[in-house]
Amino acid sequence: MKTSACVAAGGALGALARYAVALALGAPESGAFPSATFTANAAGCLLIGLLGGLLANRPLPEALREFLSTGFLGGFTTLSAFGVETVRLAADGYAAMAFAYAAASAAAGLVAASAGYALAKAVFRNAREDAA
Amino acid sequence: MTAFLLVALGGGAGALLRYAVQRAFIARTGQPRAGTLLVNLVGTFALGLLLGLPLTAENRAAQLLVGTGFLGGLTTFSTVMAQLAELLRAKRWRTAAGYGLGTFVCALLLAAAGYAAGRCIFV
Repeated sequence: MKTSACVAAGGALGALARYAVALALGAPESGAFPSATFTANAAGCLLIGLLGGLLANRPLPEALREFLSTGFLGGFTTLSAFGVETVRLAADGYAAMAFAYAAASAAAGLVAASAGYALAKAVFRNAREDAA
Repeated sequence: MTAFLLVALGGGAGALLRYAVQRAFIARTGQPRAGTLLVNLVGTFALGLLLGLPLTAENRAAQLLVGTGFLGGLTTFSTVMAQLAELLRAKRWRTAAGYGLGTFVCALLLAAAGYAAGRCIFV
């Protein structure tokens, strides 16, 4: 029950943060790269990787962990907007841009999640060893 | 101000539903991917449908509450990538390829199907 409330609160904040990024970067012109969704998704992947690397060394309480990962980062990033933006680019005749957007999103997300995990795991392991 | 409230309400509800589905699938299947895939595919189809509907283009409140908020919060990109990165670290190449391609290819097909269906429906 408590964890569910934390997930909902995190999701609300994550969606707000994504909306704020969209307001800050503005709606893309027809045929342009959807930079707002790309930015939120890539940043969210980096953060979830960092969180995973932290959790590999130091467990967090379940409610906090789910607030951050399932709630905030899950709500901050989005697959549905990515999918529809890609399809719209292709449907409007910008097939090359659609392909570039899809490929860049997938590659950036995977690299960010992997690099974030490796970085946080190394940093927190060193911190733990220094403390010991 | 209202816009932020609509996005937050939708996002909170979407994340809560995603969490419930993920938990139900983990309890049944013992792994976290099936539930994530289901909410992602359903949410992506639904957003295609919503944004394809001519009616939605004029209804900003519906876009913010249902699109940006609920369906944006229901679907997730970061969880997919964290799961994929974990599969790659475990050298589970085939599962990673199946899950990654399954998520992206199906999401694009369903977004296209939803968008096309939305544009065919005149309310």
